[in-house]
Amino acid sequence: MRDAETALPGLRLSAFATSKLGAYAGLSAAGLLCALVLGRVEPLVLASPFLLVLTIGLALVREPRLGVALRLDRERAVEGEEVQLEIELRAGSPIDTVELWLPLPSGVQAVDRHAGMVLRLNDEERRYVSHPLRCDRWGGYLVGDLIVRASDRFGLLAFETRNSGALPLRVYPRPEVLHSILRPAETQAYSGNEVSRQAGEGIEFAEIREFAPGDQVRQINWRVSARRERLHVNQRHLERNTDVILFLDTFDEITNSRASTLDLTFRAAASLASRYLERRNRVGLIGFGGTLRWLTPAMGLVQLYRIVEALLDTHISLSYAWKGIDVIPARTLPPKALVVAISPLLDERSLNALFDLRRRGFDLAIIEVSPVPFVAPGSTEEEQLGYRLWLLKRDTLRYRYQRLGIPVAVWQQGEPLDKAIEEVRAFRRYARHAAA
Amino acid sequence: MLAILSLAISLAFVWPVGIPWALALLGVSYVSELYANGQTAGNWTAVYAAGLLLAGELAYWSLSLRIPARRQPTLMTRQAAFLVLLIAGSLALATLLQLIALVPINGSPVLVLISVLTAATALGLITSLAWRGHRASG
Repeated sequence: MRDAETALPGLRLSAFATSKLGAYAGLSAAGLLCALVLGRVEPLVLASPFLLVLTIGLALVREPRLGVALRLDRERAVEGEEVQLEIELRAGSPIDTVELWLPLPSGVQAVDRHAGMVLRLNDEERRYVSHPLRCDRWGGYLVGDLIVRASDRFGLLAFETRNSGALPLRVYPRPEVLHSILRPAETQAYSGNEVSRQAGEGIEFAEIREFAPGDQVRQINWRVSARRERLHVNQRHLERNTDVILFLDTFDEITNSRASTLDLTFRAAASLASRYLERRNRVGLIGFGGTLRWLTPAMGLVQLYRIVEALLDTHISLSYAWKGIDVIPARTLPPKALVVAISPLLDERSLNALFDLRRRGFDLAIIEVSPVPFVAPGSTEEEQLGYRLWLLKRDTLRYRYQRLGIPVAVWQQGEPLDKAIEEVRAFRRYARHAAA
Repeated sequence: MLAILSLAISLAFVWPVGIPWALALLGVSYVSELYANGQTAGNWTAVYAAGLLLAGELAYWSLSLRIPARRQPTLMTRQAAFLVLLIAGSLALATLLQLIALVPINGSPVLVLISVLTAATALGLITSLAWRGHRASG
Protein backbone atom coordinates (compact mmCIF):
# COMPACT_ATOMS: atom_id res chain seq x y z
CA MET A 1 0.00 0.00 0.00
CA ARG A 2 1.28 3.44 -0.83
CA ASP A 3 0.93 6.26 1.62
CA ALA A 4 1.39 9.52 -0.24
CA GLU A 5 1.85 11.47 2.96
CA THR A 6 4.65 9.40 4.41
CA ALA A 7 8.01 11.17 4.45
CA LEU A 8 10.68 8.84 3.22
CA PRO A 9 13.91 8.57 5.17
CA GLY A 10 16.42 10.87 3.49
CA LEU A 11 19.62 9.35 2.21
CA ARG A 12 23.02 10.59 3.30
CA LEU A 13 24.92 10.83 0.06
CA SER A 14 28.69 10.96 -0.28
CA ALA A 15 29.99 13.07 -3.13
CA PHE A 16 32.91 12.05 -5.29
CA ALA A 17 34.54 13.49 -8.36
CA THR A 18 34.11 11.49 -11.51
CA SER A 19 36.98 10.75 -13.86
CA LYS A 20 35.45 13.27 -16.26
CA LEU A 21 36.08 16.13 -13.81
CA GLY A 22 39.75 15.26 -13.54
CA ALA A 23 40.06 14.82 -17.30
CA TYR A 24 38.44 18.12 -18.19
CA ALA A 25 40.37 20.00 -15.51
CA GLY A 26 43.58 18.51 -16.82
CA LEU A 27 42.79 19.37 -20.42
CA SER A 28 41.81 22.93 -19.51
CA ALA A 29 44.95 23.48 -17.49
CA ALA A 30 47.12 21.96 -20.21
CA GLY A 31 45.54 24.17 -22.85
CA LEU A 32 46.02 27.34 -20.78
CA LEU A 33 49.62 26.52 -19.94
CA CYS A 34 50.45 25.73 -23.55
CA ALA A 35 48.87 28.99 -24.67
CA LEU A 36 50.99 30.90 -22.14
CA VAL A 37 54.21 29.08 -22.90
CA LEU A 38 53.87 29.07 -26.69
CA GLY A 39 52.30 32.48 -26.86
CA ARG A 40 49.60 31.21 -29.19
CA VAL A 41 45.89 31.33 -28.87
CA GLU A 42 45.09 27.95 -30.47
CA PRO A 43 45.63 25.81 -27.34
CA LEU A 44 43.39 28.20 -25.41
CA VAL A 45 40.66 27.97 -28.04
CA LEU A 46 40.91 24.17 -28.02
CA ALA A 47 40.68 24.09 -24.21
CA SER A 48 37.87 26.62 -23.91
CA PRO A 49 34.96 24.15 -24.29
CA PHE A 50 36.30 22.03 -21.44
CA LEU A 51 36.78 25.12 -19.34
CA LEU A 52 33.19 26.11 -20.09
CA VAL A 53 31.87 22.71 -18.98
CA LEU A 54 33.92 22.84 -15.78
CA THR A 55 32.88 26.35 -14.89
CA ILE A 56 29.18 25.92 -15.49
CA GLY A 57 29.00 22.34 -14.22
CA LEU A 58 30.71 22.94 -10.89
CA ALA A 59 28.97 26.27 -10.35
CA LEU A 60 25.54 24.72 -10.77
CA VAL A 61 26.06 21.45 -8.89
CA ARG A 62 24.00 20.97 -5.73
CA GLU A 63 23.78 18.04 -3.38
CA PRO A 64 20.60 16.14 -4.27
CA ARG A 65 17.96 15.42 -1.67
CA LEU A 66 16.52 11.98 -2.06
CA GLY A 67 14.47 9.57 0.02
CA VAL A 68 14.15 5.85 -0.65
CA ALA A 69 11.92 3.09 0.69
CA LEU A 70 11.77 -0.54 -0.38
CA ARG A 71 9.01 -3.07 -0.03
CA LEU A 72 8.45 -6.68 -1.07
CA ASP A 73 4.95 -7.66 -2.11
CA ARG A 74 5.26 -10.83 -0.01
CA GLU A 75 7.69 -12.46 2.35
CA ARG A 76 7.19 -16.06 1.29
CA ALA A 77 7.46 -17.70 -2.09
CA VAL A 78 8.08 -21.11 -3.60
CA GLU A 79 11.09 -21.88 -5.81
CA GLY A 80 10.61 -20.56 -9.31
CA GLU A 81 8.02 -17.93 -8.35
CA GLU A 82 8.45 -14.21 -8.80
CA VAL A 83 8.14 -11.53 -6.18
CA GLN A 84 7.94 -7.78 -6.76
CA LEU A 85 10.40 -5.46 -5.10
CA GLU A 86 8.93 -1.98 -5.08
CA ILE A 87 11.27 0.95 -4.72
CA GLU A 88 9.74 4.26 -3.74
CA LEU A 89 11.80 7.37 -4.51
CA ARG A 90 11.07 10.87 -3.36
CA ALA A 91 13.16 13.74 -4.70
CA GLY A 92 13.53 16.90 -2.64
CA SER A 93 15.26 18.58 -5.59
CA PRO A 94 15.47 17.92 -9.33
CA ILE A 95 17.98 15.18 -10.06
CA ASP A 96 19.12 14.68 -13.64
CA THR A 97 20.29 11.12 -13.30
CA VAL A 98 19.53 8.62 -10.54
CA GLU A 99 21.09 5.20 -10.83
CA LEU A 100 19.76 2.38 -8.70
CA TRP A 101 21.83 -0.80 -8.35
CA LEU A 102 20.47 -3.84 -6.59
CA PRO A 103 23.02 -6.38 -5.41
CA LEU A 104 20.97 -9.52 -4.90
CA PRO A 105 21.89 -12.60 -2.89
CA SER A 106 22.82 -15.72 -4.77
CA GLY A 107 19.60 -17.66 -5.31
CA VAL A 108 17.52 -14.62 -6.20
CA GLN A 109 17.91 -12.77 -9.45
CA ALA A 110 16.25 -10.00 -11.40
CA VAL A 111 13.80 -11.27 -13.98
CA ASP A 112 15.03 -8.92 -16.72
CA ARG A 113 18.69 -9.65 -15.85
CA HIS A 114 19.45 -5.94 -15.54
CA ALA A 115 21.64 -5.00 -12.63
CA GLY A 116 19.99 -1.62 -12.15
CA MET A 117 17.86 1.25 -13.34
CA VAL A 118 18.61 4.77 -14.51
CA LEU A 119 15.97 7.47 -14.32
CA ARG A 120 15.39 11.15 -13.82
CA LEU A 121 13.45 12.79 -11.02
CA ASN A 122 11.81 16.18 -11.02
CA ASP A 123 11.56 18.41 -7.99
CA GLU A 124 9.29 16.90 -5.31
CA GLU A 125 8.52 13.95 -7.54
CA ARG A 126 7.55 10.63 -5.98
CA ARG A 127 8.28 7.65 -8.20
CA TYR A 128 7.49 3.98 -7.75
CA VAL A 129 9.72 1.51 -9.52
CA SER A 130 8.85 -2.15 -9.62
CA HIS A 131 11.66 -4.65 -9.92
CA PRO A 132 10.50 -8.25 -10.40
CA LEU A 133 12.72 -10.87 -8.78
CA ARG A 134 12.76 -14.59 -9.44
CA CYS A 135 13.41 -16.99 -6.58
CA ASP A 136 15.73 -19.55 -8.11
CA ARG A 137 16.69 -21.49 -5.02
CA TRP A 138 15.06 -22.19 -1.69
CA GLY A 139 16.46 -20.52 1.37
CA GLY A 140 16.14 -17.54 3.66
CA TYR A 141 17.36 -14.27 2.15
CA LEU A 142 17.67 -10.65 3.09
CA VAL A 143 16.80 -8.47 0.13
CA GLY A 144 16.94 -4.74 -0.13
CA ASP A 145 20.58 -3.78 -0.51
CA LEU A 146 20.48 -0.75 -2.74
CA ILE A 147 23.22 1.42 -4.19
CA VAL A 148 21.97 4.87 -5.18
CA ARG A 149 24.05 7.19 -7.32
CA ALA A 150 22.85 10.63 -8.35
CA SER A 151 24.70 12.87 -10.76
CA ASP A 152 24.14 16.19 -12.46
CA ARG A 153 23.72 16.84 -16.15
CA PHE A 154 27.41 17.48 -16.71
CA GLY A 155 28.55 14.29 -15.01
CA LEU A 156 31.36 15.95 -13.08
CA LEU A 157 30.31 15.06 -9.56
CA ALA A 158 28.37 12.03 -8.38
CA PHE A 159 26.63 11.44 -5.06
CA GLU A 160 26.41 7.90 -3.85
CA THR A 161 25.16 5.90 -0.91
CA ARG A 162 24.48 2.30 -0.05
CA ASN A 163 21.22 1.41 1.63
CA SER A 164 21.49 -1.88 3.53
CA GLY A 165 18.17 -3.55 3.16
CA ALA A 166 16.76 -6.10 5.51
CA LEU A 167 13.63 -7.33 3.82
CA PRO A 168 13.27 -11.01 4.69
CA LEU A 169 12.35 -13.32 1.88
CA ARG A 170 11.80 -16.99 2.56
CA VAL A 171 11.78 -19.23 -0.48
CA TYR A 172 10.35 -22.65 0.11
CA PRO A 173 11.57 -25.70 -1.82
CA ARG A 174 9.22 -26.83 -4.53
CA PRO A 175 8.10 -30.27 -3.37
CA GLU A 176 8.30 -33.16 -5.76
CA VAL A 177 5.11 -34.89 -6.72
CA LEU A 178 5.10 -38.26 -5.00
CA HIS A 179 2.78 -40.93 -6.33
CA SER A 180 3.43 -43.30 -3.47
CA ILE A 181 4.89 -43.13 0.00
CA LEU A 182 6.21 -45.62 2.50
CA ARG A 183 3.55 -47.34 4.49
CA PRO A 184 4.39 -47.74 8.14
CA ALA A 185 4.78 -51.11 9.85
CA GLU A 186 2.67 -49.88 12.78
CA THR A 187 -0.06 -47.30 13.04
CA GLN A 188 -1.17 -45.09 15.88
CA ALA A 189 -4.47 -44.91 17.66
CA TYR A 190 -5.85 -41.87 15.89
CA SER A 191 -7.91 -41.81 12.76
CA GLY A 192 -6.04 -41.28 9.54
CA ASN A 193 -5.56 -42.48 5.97
CA GLU A 194 -3.19 -45.36 6.63
CA VAL A 195 -4.53 -48.89 6.56
CA SER A 196 -3.91 -50.55 9.89
CA ARG A 197 -3.34 -54.25 10.40
CA GLN A 198 -6.08 -54.27 12.99
CA ALA A 199 -9.55 -55.19 11.87
CA GLY A 200 -12.57 -53.06 12.59
CA GLU A 201 -14.53 -50.28 10.92
CA GLY A 202 -12.85 -49.22 7.72
CA ILE A 203 -12.90 -49.37 3.95
CA GLU A 204 -10.31 -51.92 2.97
CA PHE A 205 -11.42 -55.53 3.33
CA ALA A 206 -9.49 -57.59 5.89
CA GLU A 207 -11.19 -60.95 6.58
CA ILE A 208 -14.45 -62.81 7.26
CA ARG A 209 -15.19 -64.25 10.69
CA GLU A 210 -18.12 -65.65 12.55
CA PHE A 211 -20.72 -63.32 13.98
CA ALA A 212 -20.11 -62.39 17.60
CA PRO A 213 -22.44 -60.50 19.94
CA GLY A 214 -22.00 -56.79 19.41
CA ASP A 215 -21.34 -56.99 15.69
CA GLN A 216 -23.35 -54.66 13.48
CA VAL A 217 -26.03 -56.20 11.29
CA ARG A 218 -24.79 -54.31 8.26
CA GLN A 219 -21.45 -56.11 8.58
CA ILE A 220 -23.06 -59.49 7.96
CA ASN A 221 -21.89 -61.20 4.78
CA TRP A 222 -25.16 -62.85 3.75
CA ARG A 223 -23.71 -64.95 0.97
CA VAL A 224 -21.10 -66.61 3.17
CA SER A 225 -23.62 -66.91 5.99
CA ALA A 226 -26.04 -68.73 3.67
CA ARG A 227 -23.33 -71.06 2.43
CA ARG A 228 -22.05 -71.90 5.89
CA GLU A 229 -25.45 -71.81 7.58
CA ARG A 230 -24.01 -69.60 10.35
CA LEU A 231 -23.79 -65.85 10.48
CA HIS A 232 -20.48 -64.39 9.29
CA VAL A 233 -19.38 -60.76 9.20
CA ASN A 234 -16.92 -58.83 7.04
CA GLN A 235 -14.00 -57.32 8.83
CA ARG A 236 -12.16 -54.33 7.43
CA HIS A 237 -8.82 -52.78 8.21
CA LEU A 238 -8.95 -49.79 10.47
CA GLU A 239 -7.72 -46.52 9.07
CA ARG A 240 -5.31 -44.94 11.37
CA ASN A 241 -2.66 -42.37 11.19
CA THR A 242 0.99 -42.88 11.83
CA ASP A 243 3.97 -41.03 13.18
CA VAL A 244 6.67 -40.30 10.64
CA ILE A 245 10.00 -38.89 11.68
CA LEU A 246 12.21 -37.37 9.01
CA PHE A 247 15.79 -37.90 10.13
CA LEU A 248 18.08 -35.55 8.22
CA ASP A 249 21.83 -35.97 8.28
CA THR A 250 23.26 -32.45 8.36
CA PHE A 251 26.83 -33.28 9.36
CA ASP A 252 28.23 -33.05 5.87
CA GLU A 253 27.49 -31.42 2.58
CA ILE A 254 29.09 -32.04 -0.78
CA THR A 255 28.49 -29.41 -3.41
CA ASN A 256 29.15 -28.60 -7.00
CA SER A 257 28.35 -25.42 -8.88
CA ARG A 258 24.69 -26.29 -9.30
CA ALA A 259 23.51 -28.17 -6.24
CA SER A 260 24.52 -29.95 -3.09
CA THR A 261 23.59 -33.04 -1.12
CA LEU A 262 21.94 -30.75 1.44
CA ASP A 263 19.74 -29.26 -1.31
CA LEU A 264 18.54 -32.71 -2.24
CA THR A 265 18.07 -33.70 1.40
CA PHE A 266 15.85 -30.73 2.10
CA ARG A 267 13.91 -31.13 -1.10
CA ALA A 268 13.17 -34.77 -0.25
CA ALA A 269 12.24 -33.84 3.32
CA ALA A 270 9.83 -31.11 2.17
CA SER A 271 8.20 -33.46 -0.36
CA LEU A 272 7.78 -36.30 2.12
CA ALA A 273 6.53 -34.02 4.89
CA SER A 274 3.96 -32.48 2.58
CA ARG A 275 2.71 -35.87 1.41
CA TYR A 276 2.50 -37.47 4.85
CA LEU A 277 0.79 -34.47 6.39
CA GLU A 278 -1.79 -34.50 3.58
CA ARG A 279 -2.72 -38.01 4.72
CA ARG A 280 -3.39 -36.82 8.28
CA ASN A 281 -0.25 -38.34 9.70
CA ARG A 282 1.91 -36.75 12.33
CA VAL A 283 5.31 -35.72 11.05
CA GLY A 284 8.33 -34.77 13.08
CA LEU A 285 11.79 -33.67 12.11
CA ILE A 286 15.28 -34.33 13.42
CA GLY A 287 18.21 -32.42 11.94
CA PHE A 288 21.10 -34.56 13.16
CA GLY A 289 24.31 -32.68 12.63
CA GLY A 290 26.74 -30.24 14.17
CA THR A 291 23.70 -28.46 15.55
CA LEU A 292 20.86 -30.71 16.63
CA ARG A 293 17.41 -29.47 15.65
CA TRP A 294 14.12 -31.21 16.17
CA LEU A 295 10.40 -30.78 15.83
CA THR A 296 8.07 -33.02 17.75
CA PRO A 297 5.52 -34.79 15.57
CA ALA A 298 2.32 -32.91 14.84
CA MET A 299 -0.35 -32.75 12.18
CA GLY A 300 -1.72 -30.21 9.79
CA LEU A 301 -0.65 -27.33 7.59
CA VAL A 302 0.92 -25.44 10.46
CA GLN A 303 3.31 -28.34 11.04
CA LEU A 304 4.25 -28.27 7.36
CA TYR A 305 5.16 -24.60 7.66
CA ARG A 306 7.11 -25.33 10.82
CA ILE A 307 9.05 -28.10 9.09
CA VAL A 308 9.84 -25.99 6.03
CA GLU A 309 10.88 -23.03 8.19
CA ALA A 310 13.14 -25.35 10.19
CA LEU A 311 14.67 -26.59 6.93
CA LEU A 312 15.35 -23.04 5.77
CA ASP A 313 17.10 -22.28 9.04
CA THR A 314 19.23 -25.40 8.97
CA HIS A 315 22.74 -25.20 7.69
CA ILE A 316 25.91 -27.18 7.99
CA SER A 317 27.91 -26.36 11.08
CA LEU A 318 31.19 -28.15 11.47
CA SER A 319 31.52 -30.14 14.64
CA TYR A 320 33.85 -32.92 15.68
CA ALA A 321 31.94 -33.75 18.86
CA TRP A 322 30.67 -37.27 19.03
CA LYS A 323 26.90 -37.57 18.98
CA GLY A 324 24.62 -40.50 19.46
CA ILE A 325 20.87 -40.74 19.36
CA ASP A 326 20.81 -40.34 23.17
CA VAL A 327 20.94 -36.60 22.59
CA ILE A 328 17.60 -36.72 20.79
CA PRO A 329 14.67 -35.97 23.11
CA ALA A 330 12.49 -39.01 23.66
CA ARG A 331 9.26 -37.28 22.65
CA THR A 332 10.75 -36.59 19.20
CA LEU A 333 11.05 -40.34 18.56
CA PRO A 334 7.70 -41.82 19.60
CA PRO A 335 7.46 -45.61 19.67
CA LYS A 336 6.11 -47.31 16.55
CA ALA A 337 7.12 -44.30 14.45
CA LEU A 338 8.33 -44.75 10.91
CA VAL A 339 11.75 -43.14 10.67
CA VAL A 340 12.75 -42.05 7.18
CA ALA A 341 16.42 -41.13 7.18
CA ILE A 342 17.71 -38.91 4.37
CA SER A 343 21.47 -38.97 4.40
CA PRO A 344 24.52 -39.00 2.14
CA LEU A 345 25.93 -41.72 4.46
CA LEU A 346 29.25 -40.00 4.93
CA ASP A 347 29.65 -39.18 8.59
CA GLU A 348 30.40 -41.97 11.08
CA ARG A 349 28.13 -40.40 13.65
CA SER A 350 25.11 -40.54 11.35
CA LEU A 351 25.92 -44.09 10.29
CA ASN A 352 26.10 -45.27 13.88
CA ALA A 353 22.97 -43.36 14.83
CA LEU A 354 21.04 -45.21 12.14
CA PHE A 355 22.31 -48.57 13.37
CA ASP A 356 21.31 -47.54 16.89
CA LEU A 357 17.82 -46.63 15.77
CA ARG A 358 17.40 -50.03 14.23
CA ARG A 359 18.66 -51.81 17.31
CA ARG A 360 16.12 -49.91 19.40
CA GLY A 361 13.39 -51.35 17.23
CA PHE A 362 12.40 -48.36 15.16
CA ASP A 363 10.89 -48.94 11.75
CA LEU A 364 13.65 -47.40 9.66
CA ALA A 365 14.12 -46.70 5.97
CA ILE A 366 17.05 -44.85 4.43
CA ILE A 367 17.05 -42.67 1.35
CA GLU A 368 20.68 -42.24 0.44
CA VAL A 369 21.33 -38.87 -1.18
CA SER A 370 24.15 -40.02 -3.37
CA PRO A 371 27.29 -37.90 -3.14
CA VAL A 372 28.82 -39.83 -6.07
CA PRO A 373 27.77 -37.31 -8.79
CA PHE A 374 29.43 -34.54 -6.79
CA VAL A 375 32.80 -36.29 -6.61
CA ALA A 376 35.19 -36.55 -9.55
CA PRO A 377 37.06 -39.85 -9.95
CA GLY A 378 40.39 -38.07 -10.18
CA SER A 379 43.02 -37.98 -12.85
CA THR A 380 45.84 -40.07 -11.42
CA GLU A 381 45.76 -43.82 -11.05
CA GLU A 382 45.92 -43.57 -7.25
CA GLU A 383 42.99 -41.16 -7.19
CA GLN A 384 40.91 -43.42 -9.39
CA LEU A 385 41.79 -46.42 -7.25
CA GLY A 386 40.78 -44.49 -4.16
CA TYR A 387 37.52 -43.54 -5.84
CA ARG A 388 36.72 -47.15 -6.68
CA LEU A 389 37.54 -48.25 -3.13
CA TRP A 390 35.25 -45.54 -1.82
CA LEU A 391 32.42 -46.81 -4.02
CA LEU A 392 33.01 -50.35 -2.78
CA LYS A 393 32.97 -49.16 0.80
CA ARG A 394 29.61 -47.50 0.20
CA ASP A 395 28.22 -50.70 -1.31
CA THR A 396 29.38 -52.60 1.76
CA LEU A 397 27.73 -50.12 4.05
CA ARG A 398 24.46 -50.43 2.18
CA TYR A 399 24.68 -54.21 2.46
CA ARG A 400 25.22 -53.97 6.23
CA TYR A 401 22.05 -51.96 6.60
CA GLN A 402 20.06 -54.28 4.37
CA ARG A 403 21.24 -57.29 6.37
CA LEU A 404 19.56 -55.69 9.39
CA GLY A 405 16.35 -55.27 7.41
CA ILE A 406 16.86 -51.57 6.75
CA PRO A 407 15.99 -50.69 3.17
CA VAL A 408 18.44 -48.31 1.52
CA ALA A 409 17.54 -46.64 -1.76
CA VAL A 410 20.00 -44.48 -3.64
CA TRP A 411 18.65 -41.19 -4.95
CA GLN A 412 20.67 -39.05 -7.31
CA GLN A 413 20.15 -35.57 -8.59
CA GLY A 414 17.99 -35.61 -11.69
CA GLU A 415 16.08 -38.74 -10.71
CA PRO A 416 12.52 -38.61 -9.42
CA LEU A 417 12.16 -39.26 -5.69
CA ASP A 418 9.39 -41.70 -6.56
CA LYS A 419 12.04 -44.11 -7.81
CA ALA A 420 13.82 -44.22 -4.46
CA ILE A 421 10.51 -44.55 -2.59
CA GLU A 422 9.47 -47.42 -4.79
CA GLU A 423 12.79 -49.20 -4.19
CA VAL A 424 12.26 -48.96 -0.45
CA ARG A 425 8.68 -50.20 -0.78
CA ALA A 426 9.83 -53.15 -2.87
CA PHE A 427 12.49 -54.06 -0.29
CA ARG A 428 9.98 -53.90 2.56
CA ARG A 429 7.47 -55.99 0.62
CA TYR A 430 10.13 -58.59 -0.06
CA ALA A 431 11.29 -58.52 3.55
CA ARG A 432 7.73 -59.05 4.79
CA HIS A 433 7.19 -61.99 2.47
CA ALA A 434 10.55 -63.47 3.39
CA ALA A 435 9.71 -63.12 7.09
CA ALA A 436 6.29 -64.68 6.51
CA MET B 1 46.67 7.55 -35.04
CA LEU B 2 47.81 7.21 -31.44
CA ALA B 3 44.86 9.30 -30.32
CA ILE B 4 42.40 7.13 -32.18
CA LEU B 5 44.04 4.02 -30.78
CA SER B 6 43.80 5.41 -27.24
CA LEU B 7 40.14 6.27 -27.73
CA ALA B 8 39.38 2.86 -29.21
CA ILE B 9 41.07 1.07 -26.32
CA SER B 10 39.20 3.23 -23.81
CA LEU B 11 35.86 2.38 -25.36
CA ALA B 12 36.62 -1.28 -25.93
CA PHE B 13 37.87 -1.98 -22.41
CA VAL B 14 35.74 0.61 -20.55
CA TRP B 15 38.84 2.51 -19.51
CA PRO B 16 37.95 6.19 -18.84
CA VAL B 17 41.57 7.18 -18.24
CA GLY B 18 42.37 6.85 -21.93
CA ILE B 19 39.82 9.44 -23.07
CA PRO B 20 41.60 12.65 -21.94
CA TRP B 21 44.85 11.33 -23.40
CA ALA B 22 43.13 10.77 -26.72
CA LEU B 23 41.69 14.29 -26.68
CA ALA B 24 45.02 15.80 -25.65
CA LEU B 25 46.81 13.98 -28.44
CA LEU B 26 44.26 15.22 -30.97
CA GLY B 27 44.74 18.78 -29.73
CA VAL B 28 48.51 18.48 -29.84
CA SER B 29 48.43 17.08 -33.36
CA TYR B 30 46.26 19.98 -34.53
CA VAL B 31 48.48 22.64 -32.99
CA SER B 32 51.60 20.88 -34.30
CA GLU B 33 50.14 20.88 -37.78
CA LEU B 34 49.45 24.58 -37.56
CA TYR B 35 53.00 25.18 -36.39
CA ALA B 36 54.43 23.02 -39.11
CA ASN B 37 52.50 24.87 -41.79
CA GLY B 38 53.33 28.25 -40.29
CA GLN B 39 49.64 29.04 -39.91
CA THR B 40 47.90 31.05 -37.27
CA ALA B 41 44.50 30.07 -35.81
CA GLY B 42 42.48 29.09 -38.81
CA ASN B 43 38.76 29.29 -39.34
CA TRP B 44 38.39 25.74 -38.16
CA THR B 45 40.03 25.98 -34.74
CA ALA B 46 36.74 26.76 -32.98
CA VAL B 47 35.03 23.94 -34.82
CA TYR B 48 37.89 21.60 -33.92
CA ALA B 49 37.55 22.64 -30.28
CA ALA B 50 33.82 21.94 -30.29
CA GLY B 51 34.57 18.65 -32.00
CA LEU B 52 36.99 17.68 -29.23
CA LEU B 53 34.34 18.37 -26.62
CA LEU B 54 31.80 16.39 -28.63
CA ALA B 55 34.20 13.45 -28.88
CA GLY B 56 34.82 13.58 -25.13
CA GLU B 57 31.14 13.80 -24.23
CA LEU B 58 30.17 11.01 -26.59
CA ALA B 59 32.98 8.81 -25.27
CA TYR B 60 31.92 9.24 -21.64
CA TRP B 61 28.28 8.80 -22.58
CA SER B 62 29.01 5.57 -24.41
CA LEU B 63 30.91 4.22 -21.41
CA SER B 64 27.94 4.93 -19.18
CA LEU B 65 25.64 3.12 -21.59
CA ARG B 66 27.78 -0.02 -21.46
CA ILE B 67 26.50 -0.86 -18.01
CA PRO B 68 23.40 -3.05 -18.28
CA ALA B 69 20.52 -1.18 -16.71
CA ARG B 70 16.94 -0.32 -17.51
CA ARG B 71 16.83 3.29 -18.62
CA GLN B 72 13.99 5.74 -18.60
CA PRO B 73 13.11 6.23 -22.29
CA THR B 74 13.23 10.03 -22.20
CA LEU B 75 16.74 10.14 -20.74
CA MET B 76 18.45 9.52 -24.07
CA THR B 77 16.50 12.29 -25.79
CA ARG B 78 17.20 14.78 -23.03
CA GLN B 79 20.88 13.91 -22.99
CA ALA B 80 21.14 14.31 -26.76
CA ALA B 81 19.38 17.68 -26.63
CA PHE B 82 21.66 18.84 -23.83
CA LEU B 83 24.70 17.76 -25.81
CA VAL B 84 23.58 19.78 -28.82
CA LEU B 85 23.19 22.87 -26.62
CA LEU B 86 26.54 22.29 -24.99
CA ILE B 87 28.34 21.93 -28.31
CA ALA B 88 26.62 25.02 -29.66
CA GLY B 89 27.66 26.99 -26.56
CA SER B 90 31.24 25.77 -26.72
CA LEU B 91 31.42 26.56 -30.43
CA ALA B 92 30.21 30.09 -29.69
CA LEU B 93 32.76 30.56 -26.92
CA ALA B 94 35.62 29.18 -29.01
CA THR B 95 34.64 31.38 -31.94
CA LEU B 96 34.52 34.41 -29.66
CA LEU B 97 38.00 33.69 -28.36
CA GLN B 98 39.25 33.23 -31.87
CA LEU B 99 37.76 36.54 -32.96
CA ILE B 100 39.32 38.32 -29.98
CA ALA B 101 42.65 36.80 -30.93
CA LEU B 102 42.32 38.23 -34.44
CA VAL B 103 42.01 41.81 -33.16
CA PRO B 104 45.31 43.53 -34.12
CA ILE B 105 46.69 44.74 -30.86
CA ASN B 106 50.42 45.36 -30.65
CA GLY B 107 52.09 43.58 -27.84
CA SER B 108 53.06 45.70 -24.88
CA PRO B 109 54.28 44.86 -21.41
CA VAL B 110 50.94 45.94 -20.01
CA LEU B 111 49.09 43.73 -22.41
CA VAL B 112 51.37 40.81 -21.63
CA LEU B 113 50.82 41.39 -17.92
CA ILE B 114 47.07 41.47 -18.42
CA SER B 115 47.27 38.23 -20.42
CA VAL B 116 49.34 36.54 -17.76
CA LEU B 117 46.99 37.74 -15.03
CA THR B 118 43.97 36.54 -17.01
CA ALA B 119 45.55 33.15 -17.58
CA ALA B 120 46.55 32.90 -13.94
CA THR B 121 43.04 33.84 -12.87
CA ALA B 122 41.62 31.23 -15.18
CA LEU B 123 44.03 28.63 -13.80
CA GLY B 124 43.13 29.67 -10.29
CA LEU B 125 39.46 29.34 -11.12
CA ILE B 126 39.97 25.88 -12.49
CA THR B 127 42.00 24.88 -9.47
CA SER B 128 39.43 26.21 -7.02
CA LEU B 129 36.61 24.54 -8.83
CA ALA B 130 38.50 21.28 -8.98
CA TRP B 131 39.41 21.64 -5.30
CA ARG B 132 35.77 22.23 -4.51
CA GLY B 133 34.97 19.06 -6.36
CA HIS B 134 37.70 17.23 -4.45
CA ARG B 135 36.42 18.52 -1.10
CA ALA B 136 32.89 17.54 -1.97
CA SER B 137 34.15 14.04 -2.55
CA GLY B 138 35.68 14.00 0.93
